[in-house]
Amino acid sequence: MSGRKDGLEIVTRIYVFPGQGSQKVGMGEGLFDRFPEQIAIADAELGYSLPNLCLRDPSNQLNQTLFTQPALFVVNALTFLNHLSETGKLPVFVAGHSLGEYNALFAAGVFDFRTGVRLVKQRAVLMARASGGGMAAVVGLIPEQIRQALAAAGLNSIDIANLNSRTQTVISGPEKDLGTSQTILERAGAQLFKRLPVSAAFHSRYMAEAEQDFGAFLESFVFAEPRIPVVSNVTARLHESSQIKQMLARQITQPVRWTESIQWLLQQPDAEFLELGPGNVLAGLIRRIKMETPALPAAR
Amino acid sequence: MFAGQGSQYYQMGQELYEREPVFRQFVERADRLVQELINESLVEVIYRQRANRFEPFHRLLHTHPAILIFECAIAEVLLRRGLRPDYLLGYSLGEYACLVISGTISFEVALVTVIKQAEFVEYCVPRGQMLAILDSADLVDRHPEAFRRCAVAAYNSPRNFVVSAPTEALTQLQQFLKAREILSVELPVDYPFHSPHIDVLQTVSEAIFSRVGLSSPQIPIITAELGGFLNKPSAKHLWDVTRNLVDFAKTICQLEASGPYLYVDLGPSGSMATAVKYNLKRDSQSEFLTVSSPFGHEGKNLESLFEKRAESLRTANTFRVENPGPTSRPDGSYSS
Repeated sequence: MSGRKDGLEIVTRIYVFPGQGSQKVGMGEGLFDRFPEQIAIADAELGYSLPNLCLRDPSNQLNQTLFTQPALFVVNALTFLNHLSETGKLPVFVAGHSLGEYNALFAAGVFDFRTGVRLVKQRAVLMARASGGGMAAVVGLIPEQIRQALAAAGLNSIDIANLNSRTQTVISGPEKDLGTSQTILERAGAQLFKRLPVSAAFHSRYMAEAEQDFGAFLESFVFAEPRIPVVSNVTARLHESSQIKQMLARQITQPVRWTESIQWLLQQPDAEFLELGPGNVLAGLIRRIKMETPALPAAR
Repeated sequence: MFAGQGSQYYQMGQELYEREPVFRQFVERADRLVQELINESLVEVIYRQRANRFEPFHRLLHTHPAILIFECAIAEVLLRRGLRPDYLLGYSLGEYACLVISGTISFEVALVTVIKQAEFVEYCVPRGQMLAILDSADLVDRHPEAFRRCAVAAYNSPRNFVVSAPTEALTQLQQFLKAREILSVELPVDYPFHSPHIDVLQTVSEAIFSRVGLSSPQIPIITAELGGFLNKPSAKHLWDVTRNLVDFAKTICQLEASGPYLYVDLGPSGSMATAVKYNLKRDSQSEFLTVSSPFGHEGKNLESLFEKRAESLRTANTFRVENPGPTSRPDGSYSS
């Protein structure tokens, strides 16, 4: 994929974009002033001032998914554009975690900025409608151990939501069952069980309605072929251009296969990752995945 | 003279690439820098993939740097053989080649800047088109409704002007033109340059340009954006070159007042030489020459340029056109 035939040093530049959990008040500081025209587009689509939300969050909304998603999309997108304005360097591959996948697709030219804002705004509306569930991060068990422990205890209402690294997994399920799962998983050897501050059980069967509604919403959009290959959260392989909408809808109920996505990217010659967005959650996960992954044969 | 967007095609300069080592080395050196930035090789896209030269070559990320590289490479061939111009004339993107050749910016800086610009256009500007219309530009005033949402992007010659618009608006205009049997040609450019439709890029473009250090031109630059000399290149001017109307007709008309000149088109297509032809008054002593066109023979065309020079040296009538030059250079405008 690097396209070098002249024996030059090859670095496979990969840009990754974070998802929910990476937002924080103050994000985008110094960035919004550089892109006033893009902020005008975002504000017009959203109906509120995005810089005000990100920098001051006067009504404590930034952690509500309805607001988190568009805010992160815009900050990630502007971080990417700002990086381009400084370096001019395009990536060889792009990937994003959950919401961040929209930034990866934007970076690949699949849709423009305004369309991206529209998509994540609607995704946020539909996901915010779900309630009665939650999510928890489980550290110290591999996904198979989690599945086995829950099955052995007869708890089948919990889904794996994010496969973040070999020993960091996020689970989703109904409120009451998450409490039960904590006891089960801690007994099975989990070092940490941490509830996440989200309003519903994202990336699980409990989001089926959102998946369906979002799938219908996506139908009216025309997507372009990716100009840069994008890794899909659902398959942990590259998006096929004819399947992008379907995969984006499915992503809402499917686990984010981040570990496998990064492992696949690590097979590229001299993979070099750059996280574009607030914080460095993904950089940490990538470091961990590298550490936990046995040496892989180089891809041909 | 250095042409802008729309003058590119696959295989452009192929004969030079194959037979002229200076050209080839320049292109290959530039291509390595391009690959560093966009992970693709333009040599691959332009020469190796053997795409038909009459197929539209329109991906901006490729065409923007390709035109700059082509024009600087061909200028390098001429300069190495001792052919130094008295003036450089830039049409839109072609102005970057002028800036490089005049020593205002380095080739590398120019290349990175046009690549960044292409990236930003691709990410931020809604698609559109540019249409060359072979008629008098007063058509716009006579039929304002047909030109709704269209902006005049360039006046090329008395009966050739260009409009820019979002794709839907141009489709309507094309129907109007067809009904009146007015010839028009779609340029292989996917974005409405030289129009308000690209204003969404203004702030970031000016930020990119403001980081470019600009020296004074060592060879005077005539810009078709101002229709006159570019005395002090600035970040603002680099934006204006992308955004504002190109008045090539006025530029030639004003130049002619201090002519005659030998206009040498160093763009890929020869379209500027053609535009000069249609702008020259019947009694003009000026001449024009094309080196490259989709019909090839760049080598032969180059030789005739060198012969012309040798001939003018022989007749003591030096190749450097002997005239006082445009008179009011310092204030950036011509007296005519």
